[in-house]
Amino acid sequence: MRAPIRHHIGPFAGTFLLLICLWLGVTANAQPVRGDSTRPIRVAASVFTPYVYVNTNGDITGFSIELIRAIAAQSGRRVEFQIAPDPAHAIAMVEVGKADAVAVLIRSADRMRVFSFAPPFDTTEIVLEGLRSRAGELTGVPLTDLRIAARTGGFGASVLDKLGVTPILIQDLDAMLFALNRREIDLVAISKVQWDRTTGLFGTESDYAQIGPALASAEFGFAVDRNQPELLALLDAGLTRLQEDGTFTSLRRQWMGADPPFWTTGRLKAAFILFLGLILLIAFGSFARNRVRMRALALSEAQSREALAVAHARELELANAQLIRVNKQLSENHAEMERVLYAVTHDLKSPLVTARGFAGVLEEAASEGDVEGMLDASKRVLSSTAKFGVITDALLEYGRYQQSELVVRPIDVAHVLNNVRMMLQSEVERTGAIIELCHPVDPLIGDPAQILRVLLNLVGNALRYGCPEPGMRIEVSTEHRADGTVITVRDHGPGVPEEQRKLIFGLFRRYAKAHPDSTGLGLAIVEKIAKKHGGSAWVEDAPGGGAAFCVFIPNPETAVAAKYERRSS
Amino acid sequence: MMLIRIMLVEDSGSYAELVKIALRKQRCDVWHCETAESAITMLDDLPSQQDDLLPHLMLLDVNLPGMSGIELARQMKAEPRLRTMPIVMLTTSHSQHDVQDSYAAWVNSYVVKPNTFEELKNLLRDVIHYWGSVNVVMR
Repeated sequence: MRAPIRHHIGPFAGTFLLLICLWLGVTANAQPVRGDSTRPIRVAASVFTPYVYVNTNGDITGFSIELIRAIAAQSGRRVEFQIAPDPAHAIAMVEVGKADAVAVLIRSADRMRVFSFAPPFDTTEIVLEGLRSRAGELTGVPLTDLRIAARTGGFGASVLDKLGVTPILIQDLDAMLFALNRREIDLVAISKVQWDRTTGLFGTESDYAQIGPALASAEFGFAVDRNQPELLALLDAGLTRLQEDGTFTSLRRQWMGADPPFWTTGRLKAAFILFLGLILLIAFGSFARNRVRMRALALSEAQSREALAVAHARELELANAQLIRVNKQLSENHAEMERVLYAVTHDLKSPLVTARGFAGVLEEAASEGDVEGMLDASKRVLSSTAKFGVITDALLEYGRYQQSELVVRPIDVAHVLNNVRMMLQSEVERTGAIIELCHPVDPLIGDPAQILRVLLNLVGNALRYGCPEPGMRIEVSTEHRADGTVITVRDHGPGVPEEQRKLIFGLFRRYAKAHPDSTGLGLAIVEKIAKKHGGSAWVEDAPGGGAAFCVFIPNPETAVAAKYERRSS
Repeated sequence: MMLIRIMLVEDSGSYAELVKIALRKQRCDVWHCETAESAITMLDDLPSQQDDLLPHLMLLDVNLPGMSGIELARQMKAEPRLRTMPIVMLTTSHSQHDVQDSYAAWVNSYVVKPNTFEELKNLLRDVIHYWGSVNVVMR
């Protein structure tokens, strides 16, 4: 039986890859090395780098620089120096391609103890005395004719200034020593101890005689752009020659930065690419064979896996919905708590502040002997504290509705309304209002105690705000719908303006023309009870004028479904 | 010293009375409105050619029945005729939200109702001396 054509793809592709790798390997050696062999070597030199300084002629010089010059001279290349403020900056210049190399001494092989003596105390008097008495003795030249190096603003410079001697300013101690070795200066005026080399106040040529050997066995380093292998090789060859011709006895090399990877050069590069190609070919062949096997296996198991995935997705979906529900519930509770807290802190504080204020007035009236003022103030205190009590009671009631469990059963609306009439008797008598129950009365299932509270608050509001004239009617009706029942309390008063219809159901939110005794909690409680039943509360314009406050109480089974839906949305 | 007219918008009649008592010894005329809506009506009723009769200062509560104090301040500051009247919020609310909303509505000052009568008298004296005189000078 013939194998399907896809079985041949792997070997074909592998052979093709191998050919590409072979071609790359062969051509690797032919690729030109980066860098231009005719342009000068650009060297970044920091004047504060040991062994690099600007001499009295204004030229950049120093041991590292001399070394680079020597190497460049052997290769026939020109050297261009660029000044950097510090060694780190010089190295950064190489990194950004502004320089090819950095002139820097990594460390000297030996400690160079080159001082003649160290003063016991670092004081100006001792230094001055030392210079006066010893300088001529040590050098045989009058002090004023000596070429003395000092650091700008340093202790040595200040001493020389006092002596009327102009120093040659060199910032770096090693550079000073090197200048001394080249006889460019006679004396070094330094007071501070640097690194682990204790440096004396001044020294002479003889004191520094050992500098030459110390430098000859020094260790030098070059920071070189590693992408310029030609320059790297040039410096390496230069150093080797300097070592061979005896300029340096034990010269050691240290290349700053990482060596170039081995696969980027010569034959190793070709061998590496070939090896990589072979590995790829073997890996690809193995991969292709496994893939064919797995495909066959996958096909036979596809159905069951898909079913499993669908089941998992469903589970995930359910868990996710559950999580969203819990989250939503938590954030709703949190928001509710914040609303209640804000309302409590403000509305409870109001009567308290008033009562305390009038207590102050009472005190003042008492001190003035104003009996009438005292009586008035005490009345105000009492009324404010009474208001405080009313709000506390209303809040407790609101909290109770928040916590209480629903006891649901069929309700006789006519009976509930009779109780409401009885409870509001004095208000009814005062307004002369007529409370009517419109027939037929549709069945209603809910918590009777809570529905009584709904009707009490709505009818109470209608008596306060919806009966501006005596003998007005308040109509209570029920309307059965497929999913529940709407209770409506309708009055013939001025109605509620559109922009306030939502606001008045909020905690402590009162209508613009609110009754002075209003706590601002009545409608909030009505809405809370409606929501507990899974329904809602709202106000609309009644046909023919007035306001119609409606409460929708869903059937018990609809309420459960609605609650679930609301939470999961 | 000139008579300073103050419009006090405060839903609690008792607190308004307390403010009036606290201002007894100041040369002030207090106009009390219980809601933002009634304050707007009162200001609108002043004939436009008699703007010199406008109050020099408004003391305004945040939480009012119907329109809130902050909304009233926003509407007044958008009205060229009323924009220069200094509005000082006088409320029990410490809420950062209310403070920020008030200043966003360009009120001139926000003070929390003090706890004692003595403090209230001192506070009102300072508020009137500063904001009342500012507006008197401006006119």
